[in-house]
Amino acid sequence: MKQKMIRNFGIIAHIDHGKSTLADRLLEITHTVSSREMTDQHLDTLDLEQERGITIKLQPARMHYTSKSGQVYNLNLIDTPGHVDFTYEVSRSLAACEGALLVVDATQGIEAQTMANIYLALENNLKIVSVINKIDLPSADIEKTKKEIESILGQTTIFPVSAKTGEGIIEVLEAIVNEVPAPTGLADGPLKALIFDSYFDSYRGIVVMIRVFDGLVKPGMKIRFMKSGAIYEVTEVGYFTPKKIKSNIINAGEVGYILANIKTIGDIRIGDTVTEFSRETTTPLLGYKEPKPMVFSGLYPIDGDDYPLLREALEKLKLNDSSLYFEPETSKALGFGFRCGFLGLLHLEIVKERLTREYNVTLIATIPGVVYQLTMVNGDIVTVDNPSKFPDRGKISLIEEPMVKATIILPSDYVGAIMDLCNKRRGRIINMEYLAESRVLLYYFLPLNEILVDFFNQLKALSKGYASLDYEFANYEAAELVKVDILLNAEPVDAFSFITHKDNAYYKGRDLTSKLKQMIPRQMFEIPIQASIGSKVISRETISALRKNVLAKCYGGDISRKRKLLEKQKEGKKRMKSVGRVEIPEEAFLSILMLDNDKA
Amino acid sequence: MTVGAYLHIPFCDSKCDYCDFYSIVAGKKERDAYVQYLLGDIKKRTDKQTTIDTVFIGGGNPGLLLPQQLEGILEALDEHYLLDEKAEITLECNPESVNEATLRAFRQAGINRLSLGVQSFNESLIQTLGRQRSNPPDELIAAAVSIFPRVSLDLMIGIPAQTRQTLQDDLNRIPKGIGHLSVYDLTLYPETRFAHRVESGAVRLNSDEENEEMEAFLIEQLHAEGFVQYEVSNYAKPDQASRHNLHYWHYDDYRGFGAGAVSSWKGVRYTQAKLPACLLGENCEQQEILSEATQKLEWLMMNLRLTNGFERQRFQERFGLDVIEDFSKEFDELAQWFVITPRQIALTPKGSRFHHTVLSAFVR
Ligand SMILES: Nc1nc2c(ncn2[C@@H]2O[C@H](COP(=O)(O)OP(=O)(O)OP(=O)(O)O)[C@@H](O)[C@H]2O)c(=O)[nH]1
Ligand code: SF4
Ligand SMILES: [Mg+2]
Repeated sequence: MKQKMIRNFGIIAHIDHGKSTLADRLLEITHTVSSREMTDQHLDTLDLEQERGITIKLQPARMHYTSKSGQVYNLNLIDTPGHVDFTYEVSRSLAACEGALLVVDATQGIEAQTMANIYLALENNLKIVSVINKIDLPSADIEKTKKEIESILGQTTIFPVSAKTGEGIIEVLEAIVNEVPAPTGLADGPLKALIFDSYFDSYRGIVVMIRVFDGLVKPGMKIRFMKSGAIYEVTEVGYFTPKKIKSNIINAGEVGYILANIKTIGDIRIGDTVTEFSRETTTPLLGYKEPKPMVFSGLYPIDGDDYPLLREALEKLKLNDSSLYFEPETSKALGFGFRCGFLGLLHLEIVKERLTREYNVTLIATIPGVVYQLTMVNGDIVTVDNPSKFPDRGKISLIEEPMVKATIILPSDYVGAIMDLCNKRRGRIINMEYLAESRVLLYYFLPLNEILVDFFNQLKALSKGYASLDYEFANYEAAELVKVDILLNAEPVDAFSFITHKDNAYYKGRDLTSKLKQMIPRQMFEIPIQASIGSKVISRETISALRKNVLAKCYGGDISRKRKLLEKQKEGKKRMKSVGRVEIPEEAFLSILMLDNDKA
Repeated sequence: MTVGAYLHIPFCDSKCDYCDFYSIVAGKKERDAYVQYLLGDIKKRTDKQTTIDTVFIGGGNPGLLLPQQLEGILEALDEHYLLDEKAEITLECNPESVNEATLRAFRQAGINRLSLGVQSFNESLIQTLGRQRSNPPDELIAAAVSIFPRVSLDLMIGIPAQTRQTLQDDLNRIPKGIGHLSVYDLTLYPETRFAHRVESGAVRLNSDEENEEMEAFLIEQLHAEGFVQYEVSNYAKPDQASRHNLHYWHYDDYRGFGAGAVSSWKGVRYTQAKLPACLLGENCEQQEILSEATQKLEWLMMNLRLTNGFERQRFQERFGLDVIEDFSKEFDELAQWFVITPRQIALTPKGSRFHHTVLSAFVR
């Protein structure tokens, strides 16, 4: 298709403002998905997305739209996630687009992630089309929301819609074809395409998702990945609806995929430029600035034999989640595993879950933590991303921790409570602004470690759900931190060690020991659980010994049932990690994650 | 082939709060209809090649049956199978529902072993269990001892508020003629009234330590009285062990008749449908085919319930190789829980208390 008939746009918003539902309506009106095949949040193709009701992965879809003027357009939308942990998905998507459809929930107004995504769109020089969604709801406040958008973007044409009822959707489509610029690449130039995502298909090899800027790509063409240097012959090209649809060619300005029987994971790098082997572009794309992982945790297979499986799974998953960082490590307690870096706790949880579901490895994750910068007494500077690798306190002269700049948007009524919360978490206020009459923007410096666990839940609880949070790395700052170790049966379990501010060490240690006491089943011997700083024990619990474990009655009618109980016990044991003599259930490791499950 | 036969009578006068056995409260008419079905079940599965040397009529409360019904059932077994003249024929019975005269009639009908569900002699403990009792059971037990050559009592440990003293009282009230005791830990089954009472906090369970102490006390007292523990929950004076239950623990084949009854037969386990489905249809039998590995596991699970364990020769005969060879890794790792001689293998007393933990390691 001629480039002037193409429109590429990403749908962006704060979490839950209705991006995926709006995409459903677009797919429906353009007859991209038949009503028989239509499902809610159709572009949330992972089971995990459907179950949790949130988008995790970007998802492109191509549509054909006949405008009011009678022209047929080729629209390519990319649905993006709203959660702060998945911002990299948004920025990768936007780099493949000329426009952004900004969705704002009329019952919530502008929230922290709305702002963050607006900045991303502006950085990418995208034309923003703003819509106010959920106008069908009684609590919708269209005027107020309009004012908020106006004050930030200076726009006056804003489209009120209901992604639920379909009201106003045609107007949005018209605005997209009229407002969003068409791509303007060199249609007959040398191939220049951006890899913005990929995934591993066990039958077909790696599916490379691309946006073609210049030239075209089609089966039989010999291509080169410019950064990795790998050369392949294209076997198939196509696009998404979101189903993968084979086609003959992907032209300049279009979004699609290529297959080239690629099995070597290292050949594909997100952000790389694809070009034609015999006619290379001289202006490769800049690619992406890789996001820095903020949260680290060790991932270990419950069954040590699964280690190679885990490595392969991580490599394959990284194709589809390029912000995932991992490197091998060993733990005294847990054996061989990987130290992994994540963009946030939800990201950690999702990765863990995807590894289990998509690659069948059962895992445990160690306590999530951040990266510390230590200045040693001898002047060396080292960074530590694993509490168990913390050197002796005596050898350290200064500990610095990562700080984030947090943006909190909330109704002014709750400012007092939220400021209290931030202060308790060792926060420092930077600034406070009014977004509208009764809506406040708070800027805070906060230690990242303090907002990992339970900060977001608290924020929501204290603001009746109205406060929203966004944050970005700011700098490193000195703090009085200590390392707390957990001992089971007098043996330190490195996987449970954590770093915390010295004022919180006592209660956090007590919290963890009592949690472990609840989670670890009684065994044939007594198990003391201790938390300590250095050699000083700060809290102690004991799991008393199991007295007896025998099924009282076993006669003819009971044999099958009792045998199944044995099998179940054995099965349960497979989900236990033996640390020394103590068997720790998977759930105990889960519980120490103390995940801040909710949405940011 | 010589096997045990189990007949299930799924009726009780009222349902005890802690009970999760398959039993229902039903009137005389339903019981009569059920006996007809049972007779039919026996007939349907006629097998004149098989000798029955033990019969166990359990429930529920089979004491609710009429003596002539019992007689009819035993006759049917004799007619359709080979019922050994010297067969051990046990009737399970709630002391509440019988008197001396019915016991005599039961004896007359051919019952030669009686198993009485006493649980405790203590009134208030029985109430805690939510079990019906209108009279102290002592007189009936005395009568039973005078009528039946072998009588067994069921006792319970772990009843809330039970103490060493109430246990001592229980023991004092057991007459000399009782040759067999089954002592069960009170088990909390989900969804029973008793479990709900515990969950709601209306009753508080004893601590494990208290129960362990009482059990130790009981064992000591029973030893002094000449009882020997021969299975996890069973104690007997010489020659008083339940031969029927020994069939199970030896992992012999057995036949079960009646609603919900289970049979093991040549590597297949059959379960009859429960009421009322069993009264209706033909194809109401469930089958479970037991793989060799499953049979081995079950064989060990059952035989290791016995205090003296088993003779290695028996395993070898059944499965074709020595058990230690077969499970070398397991026996290696778990050596501390076993007493192993060239002929015999048994769990140690502590191993026996952790039977479930130890045996789960044998799951493959
Ligand atoms: N009443 C009403 N509900 C809506 C509308 N649009 C979306 N919703 C509901 O809002 C919730 C969130 O919708 P999604 O489409 O999943 O939101 P999202 O922005 O894609 O969320 P993330 O991708 O997780 O950031 C769902 O329960 C939708 O049914 C609307 O116009 N009206
Ligand atoms: S008498 Fe026995 S079978 Fe009947 S309800 Fe009571 S415990 Fe259950
Ligand atoms: Mg979504």
